[in-house]
Amino acid sequence: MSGDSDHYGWAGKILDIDLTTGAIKSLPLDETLARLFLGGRGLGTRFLWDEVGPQVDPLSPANVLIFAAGPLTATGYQTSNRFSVSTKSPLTGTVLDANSGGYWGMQFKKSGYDALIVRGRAEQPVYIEIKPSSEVAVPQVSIRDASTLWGMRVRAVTEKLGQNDNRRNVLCIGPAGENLSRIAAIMNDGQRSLARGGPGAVMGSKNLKAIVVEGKYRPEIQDQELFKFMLYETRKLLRASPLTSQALPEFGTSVVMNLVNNIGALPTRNYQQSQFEGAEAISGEALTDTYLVKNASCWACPIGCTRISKTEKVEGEGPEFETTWAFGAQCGNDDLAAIIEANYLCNDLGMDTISAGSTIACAMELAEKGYLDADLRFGRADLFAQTLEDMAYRRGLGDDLADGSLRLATRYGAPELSMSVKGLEMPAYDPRGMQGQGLLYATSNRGACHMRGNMLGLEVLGLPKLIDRFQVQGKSSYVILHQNTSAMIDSLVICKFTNMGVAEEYFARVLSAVTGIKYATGDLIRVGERVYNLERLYNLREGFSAEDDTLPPRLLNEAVAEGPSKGWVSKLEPMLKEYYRARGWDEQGVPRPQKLAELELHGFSYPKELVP
Amino acid sequence: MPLVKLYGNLRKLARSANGTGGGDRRIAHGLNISGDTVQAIIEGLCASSPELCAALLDQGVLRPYIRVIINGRDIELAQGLATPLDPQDQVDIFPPIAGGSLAGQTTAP
Amino acid sequence: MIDERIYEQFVEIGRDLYDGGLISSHGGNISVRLGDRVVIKRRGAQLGRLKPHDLIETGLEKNDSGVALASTELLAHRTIYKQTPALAIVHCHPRTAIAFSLSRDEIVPIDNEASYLLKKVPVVTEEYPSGTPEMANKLAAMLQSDKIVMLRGNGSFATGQTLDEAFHWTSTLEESCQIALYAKLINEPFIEYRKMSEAYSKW
Repeated sequence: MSGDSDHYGWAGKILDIDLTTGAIKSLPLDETLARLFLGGRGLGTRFLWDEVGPQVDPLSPANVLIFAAGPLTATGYQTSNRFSVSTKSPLTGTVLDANSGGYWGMQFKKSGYDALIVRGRAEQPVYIEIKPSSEVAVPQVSIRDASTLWGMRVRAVTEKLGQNDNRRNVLCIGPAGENLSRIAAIMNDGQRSLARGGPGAVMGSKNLKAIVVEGKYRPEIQDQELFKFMLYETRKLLRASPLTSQALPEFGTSVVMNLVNNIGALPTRNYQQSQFEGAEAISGEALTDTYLVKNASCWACPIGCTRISKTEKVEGEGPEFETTWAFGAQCGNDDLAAIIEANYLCNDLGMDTISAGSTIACAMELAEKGYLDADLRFGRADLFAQTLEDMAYRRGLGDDLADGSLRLATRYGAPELSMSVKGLEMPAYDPRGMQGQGLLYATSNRGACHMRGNMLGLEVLGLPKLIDRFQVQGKSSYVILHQNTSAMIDSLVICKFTNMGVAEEYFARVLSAVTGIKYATGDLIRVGERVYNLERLYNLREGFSAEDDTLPPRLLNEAVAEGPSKGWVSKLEPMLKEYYRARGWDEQGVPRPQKLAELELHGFSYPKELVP
Repeated sequence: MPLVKLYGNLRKLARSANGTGGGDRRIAHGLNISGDTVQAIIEGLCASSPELCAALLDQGVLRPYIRVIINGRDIELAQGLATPLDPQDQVDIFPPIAGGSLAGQTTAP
Repeated sequence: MIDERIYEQFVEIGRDLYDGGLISSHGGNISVRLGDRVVIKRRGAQLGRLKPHDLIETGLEKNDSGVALASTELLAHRTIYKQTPALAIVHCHPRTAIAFSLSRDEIVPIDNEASYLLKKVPVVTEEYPSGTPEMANKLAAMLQSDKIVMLRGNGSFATGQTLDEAFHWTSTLEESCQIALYAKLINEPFIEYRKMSEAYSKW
């Protein structure tokens, strides 16, 4: 039974809320933009290009927050629960998108919108509530007083606003966002996060405490038969893959800890070493044997990678691999309970765990080397809780840590000790032990990121085939493909773990079945390439250049001293040169007009005058 | 003898073979297994546990997704199962692990 | 300078293709994309016994290798790299697949493995003279949607992230066609064993 409505997949509407004036508008979603950018990261970036230019301070009322679902969201396709937020990052100053799972995205789409643009600043703390009215297609949207909610932690305010996973969903900030910590996250459904790059601070700067959604709208599906077939095939594939049917549900994401450590690519003590003697104690196996209660999943997800862990003090979701690494090896800590408690606290305060852990690690090295006077030392997990609280409330040294490792290290005279790219802390893989990963970090548009392409598969896991992690020639092609594909997945908005078992050609067919618009696999990946190039243009417009596509000096100059990656530095330069050429960019990393035309990015100029 | 460490769900398969029950720590720290090639080590593990064997091999060939690392280097970049071993080598064997992107499909279920 | 590890991949896949009966001694071609360069087999070299000097590295936009390469091959490969996300291409002559391509516009597998991996393989006729931009563009357009396509009477073009992947689709297709051929010889009514198989032709 195929639908015969006006639009399929997309709801066809954008909600626009101005917190300064209180104006609430519903606008149509332009079909061409939808076709070219899909939703999520793609649509968010496209809107951000128009809305926020180089003169805008990210924490000023002129910045915007764009929450976006995608054409597949809430259709019931596997993992069609995700959504993203786009904004200018207060941490890096680059274009930023962050995405999250859980239930909120699904419910937001069910309110009948594809995206929500929040602009301006409320005079007093407020929250936004979206509820169904008697007409399904026209929800009730209101801006409500949040003065009694301001100051509450994430779990408390989520409960207070009536969180019910399937029916009413709360997205909010905690004290970290309220206090404009540049590594503050936006949390949804109590424990899921839009974490990296400080979107929580943007929300806090708008005096926006929360957004609550309830909805009854159902997206229309154009070809029901083909859609049913795709559901069936995807179910089969996810069940057949040992990655999605065994590895992830049983051990969660930390299952890679021991392997990455074994090959000598697990950054330790602020990237001073690349193997951690305590890796086993904080591995996925250790978690499963000790504090794991069970696994859990997001809406419409058969994989179930979420961990539920319990220590004497806390019980909650997580910790994920990156979190475990950030408060573990990166801080020289092998106490898993302390990591679980740090994760719990970060979620409740609303802070990015990677940036928080890595900033603390940076402070540890600064203190050990005498740049900074504090008790912090590697291994001092007993100081995590207090430090995190101080960061969220900007007390004492916490005030210096609250804005990330680069500002911290710069302030104390050693910026090279911040393990970050473009100001975003690097995640858990040492580029000296995985050459392709280094290129990925250096070129990622929101700063060093492993969720915008990840070479772990090719360089370590042999997925689909092992490419030597020390090989340099040809690496750029893989990095580019992975970056493009990641951007595509973030624009459909589905979960990257689906891609562990389901190839991109399936996504193309699902999208075609849902929307009625024919997308070939190559067309779909081109959406990713388009988004990636637009992000690049955005950053160029902001004043970033090839100089910023780099890695901390430690990784370029200090060879690994011990272990299987001994003697290696990151050979970034030749890979970067090859990367620019392969992307169709000039030697300064500026997309050539021919490439932009190919991507239908007509009329997008880039500021030539910024290029030397 | 080379030190062989197992990870993920391979541990409980080795555990049950040893009948150790609460002997997880020992498994985690590694087993000394004699052999001068990876092939020999795998055969040694197979002899100790048919379930472990089934998890590792499919008709004598290493199953896809199983990774064998010697002193931090993947055997696929050396001579695969024929890779020779020194007595002080450490052999780490990993079951299917998820991560990264674009994993693709391999075979029909 | 072509990295040793990349050369080894070529040797391995080339040998598998020849030993597997998927190519004659001097036919076919395989290539990879490295950044904005292409590495491809030299004209006249044998896939089953590649030597280092049999691999040529050249530009994505134009042939700057200083070696005369088969323009038929190179243009098609380059066009595919420029228009699709492919990073590796295998072109060879899987005989049973070719035989099937002579009488149909798409090959729809009936065996489990290929149903799962390929679903359906389009067949395109090379209407234009070999080595022309028109043919290359048509091939690239088809490879936007499907990872392996047949050129009627000529052979298969398969793409992938690596040569292994492209080879995987190729050998799966040939196996599938051989099974289909046997089924035709056996000539007994087909008992459908796959759920929702009517959707394959919509793939």
